[in-house]
Amino acid sequence: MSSSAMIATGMTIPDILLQLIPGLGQTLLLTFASLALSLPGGLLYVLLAQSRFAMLARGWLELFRTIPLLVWLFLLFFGLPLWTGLDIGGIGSAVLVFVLWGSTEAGEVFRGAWRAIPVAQLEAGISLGLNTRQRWRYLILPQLLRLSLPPLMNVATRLIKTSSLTVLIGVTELTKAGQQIIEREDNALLVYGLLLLGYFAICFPLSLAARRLEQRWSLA
Amino acid sequence: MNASPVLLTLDDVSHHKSGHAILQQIDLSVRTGEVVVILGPSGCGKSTLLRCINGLEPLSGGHVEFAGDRLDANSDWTGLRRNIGMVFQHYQLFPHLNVLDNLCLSPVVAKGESRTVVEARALALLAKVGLADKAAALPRQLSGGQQQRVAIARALCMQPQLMLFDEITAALDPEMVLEVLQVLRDLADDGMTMLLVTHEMSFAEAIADRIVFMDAGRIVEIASPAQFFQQPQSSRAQQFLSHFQQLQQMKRKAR
Repeated sequence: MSSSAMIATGMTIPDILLQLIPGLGQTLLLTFASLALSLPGGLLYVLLAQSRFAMLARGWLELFRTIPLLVWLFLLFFGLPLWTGLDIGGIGSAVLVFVLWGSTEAGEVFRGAWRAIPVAQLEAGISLGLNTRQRWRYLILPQLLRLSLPPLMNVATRLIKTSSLTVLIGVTELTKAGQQIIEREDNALLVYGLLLLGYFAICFPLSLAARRLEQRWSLA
Repeated sequence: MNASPVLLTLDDVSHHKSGHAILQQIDLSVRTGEVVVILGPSGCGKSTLLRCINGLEPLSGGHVEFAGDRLDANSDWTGLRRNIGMVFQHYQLFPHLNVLDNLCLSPVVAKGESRTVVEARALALLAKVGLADKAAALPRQLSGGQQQRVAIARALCMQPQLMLFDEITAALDPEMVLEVLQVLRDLADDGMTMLLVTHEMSFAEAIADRIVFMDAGRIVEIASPAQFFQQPQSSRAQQFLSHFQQLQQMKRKAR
């Protein structure tokens, strides 16, 4: 654990960082694949929530609000092959759980953004002679984007952080890559310190950018 | 005034909402250049009447005739809306667009005018409402009175033949009411045809060519401002006006 032990094994900080890169790539891939699929998933969630099957959307939301994501990951990774013989693997389980969860998060963001545009404002657009397509193109979509993007970036940071849970179902993402180094080199403090900095370096700019955008695009 | 042609006619217009009659048997003609003020107690249907004129509320019966076009519940109102400006109580500016773009959007997009031409007109209109220096501002950076003047300029930028004003000073702080009413005064002097719903009685008296008094979804009385305010014919109008007189007397006692 001492620094001399670390140096003795010959792994310098650049060496460690180099070995963490594939893990980082896996984390980002997992996060952004999940996020990308959560956007259409979120639209589906909104459509469901606005339909006469709103109870289903409500149930979907509550399932992911009340049951820890780790339990969902275990359920799909260990349970699914056991009960159905269907093995979708660590990454498959992770993406599925994150998309199901992310869709409710993105859906709630879309729903909030939609509600934030007052009907009366669109009536002003109607009274100015804008037709339906023009109102969508120039009034609704630009405002939905401004209202949705900052909170979606916050969903992304939560996905990045939460993706570290997949270490427990064998996905070699950033945290797992760090643990593999620690197992060999016994330099936990250094590696976890670097992981901490790594997560911070990804999430903090995202979070900061979200806040900046939110202020710049504030509509009220 | 009487020599100018009729611009707008409402013929037996009615509006029903979930089984309730909000407007019934509305007949009204407005001549070019005329300023008509609609008065009446809350819930009498005066705002709904304005909203029926440009089809924001669907007609349940009757029809609207505007500049030679006859429209009913099944008509496409988009063309008419491009010729009728409307200003709302809560401004309803587009919050993601700056002041100039609020004015230019519809003339460019809906009427297909050239951006250069529209921009020049928009800047002239902003100067006219006293906001020449606010072209680049966002709506949220403006006071209520300024936002409402932008909303008026935005409607005017479409070069409408008729303007509808729906209680446009009702949400404003008292010190901002005057700056907005002054714009309406100028507009009337320029010969704009206007229909106003307002609770500013002395302003109504000053600006109107005709007063339309409504109650319970019907037009009860149409009169000149002098006649309406001094000798209202219907008992409902007398009652309505006496409330305002009592309010003013109460103010005097308090001093």
